[in-house]
Amino acid sequence: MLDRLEFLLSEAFVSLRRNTWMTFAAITTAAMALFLLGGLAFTLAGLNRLVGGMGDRVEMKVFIKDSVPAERARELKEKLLKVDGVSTVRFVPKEDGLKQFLKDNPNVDVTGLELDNPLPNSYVVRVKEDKAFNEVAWAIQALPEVEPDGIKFPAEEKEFLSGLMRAVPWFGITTGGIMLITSGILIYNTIRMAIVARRREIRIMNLVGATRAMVWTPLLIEGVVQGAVGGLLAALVLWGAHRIIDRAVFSKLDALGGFAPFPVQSALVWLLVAGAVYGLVCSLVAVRDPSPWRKRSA
Amino acid sequence: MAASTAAPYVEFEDVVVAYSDLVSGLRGVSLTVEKGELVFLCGPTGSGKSTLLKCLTREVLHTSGSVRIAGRDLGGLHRREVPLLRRQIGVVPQDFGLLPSKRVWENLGYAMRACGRTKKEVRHWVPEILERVNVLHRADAFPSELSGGEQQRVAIGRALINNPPLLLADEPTGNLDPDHSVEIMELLLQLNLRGTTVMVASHDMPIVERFGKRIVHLDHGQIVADTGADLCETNGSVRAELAAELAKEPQPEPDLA
Repeated sequence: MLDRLEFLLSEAFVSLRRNTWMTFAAITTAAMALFLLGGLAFTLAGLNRLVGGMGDRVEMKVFIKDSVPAERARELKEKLLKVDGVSTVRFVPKEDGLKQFLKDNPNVDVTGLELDNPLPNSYVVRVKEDKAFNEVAWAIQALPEVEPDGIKFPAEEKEFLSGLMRAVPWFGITTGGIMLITSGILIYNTIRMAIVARRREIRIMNLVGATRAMVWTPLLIEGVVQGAVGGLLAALVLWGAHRIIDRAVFSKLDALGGFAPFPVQSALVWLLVAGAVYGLVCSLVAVRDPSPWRKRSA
Repeated sequence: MAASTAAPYVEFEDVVVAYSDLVSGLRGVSLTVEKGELVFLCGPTGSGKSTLLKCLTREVLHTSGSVRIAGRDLGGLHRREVPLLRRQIGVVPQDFGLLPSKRVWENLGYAMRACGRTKKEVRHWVPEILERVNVLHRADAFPSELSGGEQQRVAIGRALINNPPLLLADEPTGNLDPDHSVEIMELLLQLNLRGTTVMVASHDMPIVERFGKRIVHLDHGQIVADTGADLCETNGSVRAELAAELAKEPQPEPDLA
């Protein structure tokens, strides 16, 4: 058994060595395709996480008119809770608001602000569902105690992310798909070339009664190796890209809550398996009997 | 070795091979070969000699009729069974079919490994087979370093790796000079004397006739004459007549059909 395996593997690697450049082209294209598709899956997962979590994380700030007394402002809590879609409500007195502002902006000159606090009383409102965000905002805005244009929420940020969610799949599927087809054709061609290069060996094998498995398995191994190495490269490049983007962009944008951690193990496994399966499929197509007239012979 | 009197070992019954509507390989061939017999298939290029041999290895599937080896109908063989059939048949191609990058012993070893034999078996059997075909002394040479006769001996050796009861040689002397041709034919005769059934396609009439064995003449996919071994040995006029008839045909080229 081991003897046979050794024979099959040695045949496959001889073939891989013979077509070095074609093998290189097939592997790198497969890697690029899997990198794009793997990157797409990872980015989408990350964006989903980001947008999905936004409903809870993003807080809507509701500023109350200065003319509304503090007690009445506190009583507004009940009204706010009755608004459809509101999850929690927290009253922030103007004094606390100022403290928070000073904490967030330590370099601002605050002389006199303690005596004449310009900030209004406010509420921090959380919504139950991300989708209800705008409806909740409009309903609250209609309350007479609320300042005109007194609601602040990161609608633009959400809008941008939603747009990205719509654009990323198309970009990824289109480019990744094209690369995948290209790499498939390259793997197919490499195997066909290997068949031509090994035609003498294949003829001898057929002549002496080698089984079909013995003849074609080395070529299938060749396709699997090309796909798997492509997948491995894709995982490594994806990991590298993740680190670079994380350091260069996300670590500086706290609002986005940082980049999702890269799942090294699962990315390696999935891309390796995906590459291997793809390589196997392409090589199976390549070794199939291509001409109908050959069905007459065995 | 004398042919046995049991049921025919190889049997063609009204076999037709049509490559297309216009091109036929065989047109109603019926032929029997006994176990242990040596048969020469002669005829000009395109006469159907190679097609007939390829029917036996299932490289070509006959269109109608039946082809049997040891009573087994080859038409009913499943694709998966074809390799097992081929292990029962040794095939010697005209062009030797040796792998140029492998040494003589590696050529045999490679074929054995492809059939699932272990390295240990290769080490044990290859020298013995090379000895049988008289090229053991060239075991470490590359095919390019061998003469045509030696290369053909290696090809015959490779055909013997499965110890087949049936040996098919397609124009084994097509690329050889007369001396080497006789040498190869003598080797095939030796194998036949040891009990192997041998079928040889050849257009080299002078050499074929020297061996006084059965000669089946084909032309345009049909058997035009079947000269028994005893008749060949005793009736020289028949041989001369057929030779003269064949001589009227254009000089045949090596049959690659």
